Amino acid sequence: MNVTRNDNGHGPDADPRVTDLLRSHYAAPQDETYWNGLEDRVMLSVTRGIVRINELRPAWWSGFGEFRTAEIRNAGLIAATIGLLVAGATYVRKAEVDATARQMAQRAAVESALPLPLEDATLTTRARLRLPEDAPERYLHPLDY
Amino acid sequence: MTSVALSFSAAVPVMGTDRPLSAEALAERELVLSAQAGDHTAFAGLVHRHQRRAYAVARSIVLSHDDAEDAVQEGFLHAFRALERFRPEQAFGAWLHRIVANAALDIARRRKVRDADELPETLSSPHRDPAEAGELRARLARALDTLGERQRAVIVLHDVEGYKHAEIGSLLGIPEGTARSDLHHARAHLRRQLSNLRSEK
Repeated sequence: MNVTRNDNGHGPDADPRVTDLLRSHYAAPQDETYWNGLEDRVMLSVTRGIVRINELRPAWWSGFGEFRTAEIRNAGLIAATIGLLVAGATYVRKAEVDATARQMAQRAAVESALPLPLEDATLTTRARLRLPEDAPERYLHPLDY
Repeated sequence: MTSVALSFSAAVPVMGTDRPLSAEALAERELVLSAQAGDHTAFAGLVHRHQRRAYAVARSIVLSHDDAEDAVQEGFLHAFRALERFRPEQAFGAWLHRIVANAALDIARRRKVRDADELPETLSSPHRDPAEAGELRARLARALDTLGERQRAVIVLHDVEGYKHAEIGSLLGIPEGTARSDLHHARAHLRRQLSNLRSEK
């Protein structure tokens, strides 16, 4: 496969004999069966590579198979404990809210049943005392008065 | 069939340019799209089209035929896995060869670390070409071994595979000027190393 797109190994600093030697040394196999065999080997390695990749890339659920029984039990106990704590906290909070609501409802019922105490009452206001004009002087200098 | 494909190709410009796709490029794009949809036969078609070039790229970087084969296989496997990220308007060959080059560089580095003591044996590892044997070949192998990994890849990609400097830079992840400079130094080095051999012959 000597594709000559450059100086073909005959540039000013090239020695044609050395170039010929190199071409002989690096000559690719000429036998067509060799290339067919190489193609088969390449495709075999590609196919094997795909199989290996699929083996190395397991399904997401296959990770569960790696858990041991004890690990599963411990994880289950921890999860159950957390679940119980969360459920208990939720129950207590809900009971508090219900109690407050009940109290408010009772108070509203009692208040709606009783008459308002101000219905018959007369509202009065106390008349404001009117200070004399010199009141400030008197407060400031009480001995002068 | 061809005329239909060609007339169709004229109506489908390459993304970002006015250059129409050739029938060959259209067929390749079809293969890429089918492979991206999970069609293994289409991917086999891409392997069939590109394996020779991929091998050449890998062989320029690693020291042995066997490592080049491994790099090709790894490269295609990486490409298959990354296929969904490939944009069909790109050139599939350039994308693939870059992946194969990276796979080969990786193998070369691993080999260097692991088998430093076995390097001479690696150099004489079997190759399908019968002209491989002999002192000439052994001396060339030794001369190539004294080259840096990058310089060796550059001279093989340029003088054996016909890549341009810019393409080599893109493949190996180096600037074009570095590829040009590496080629110059590699040629000079091999000329020096093999000069006495040439005078003997």
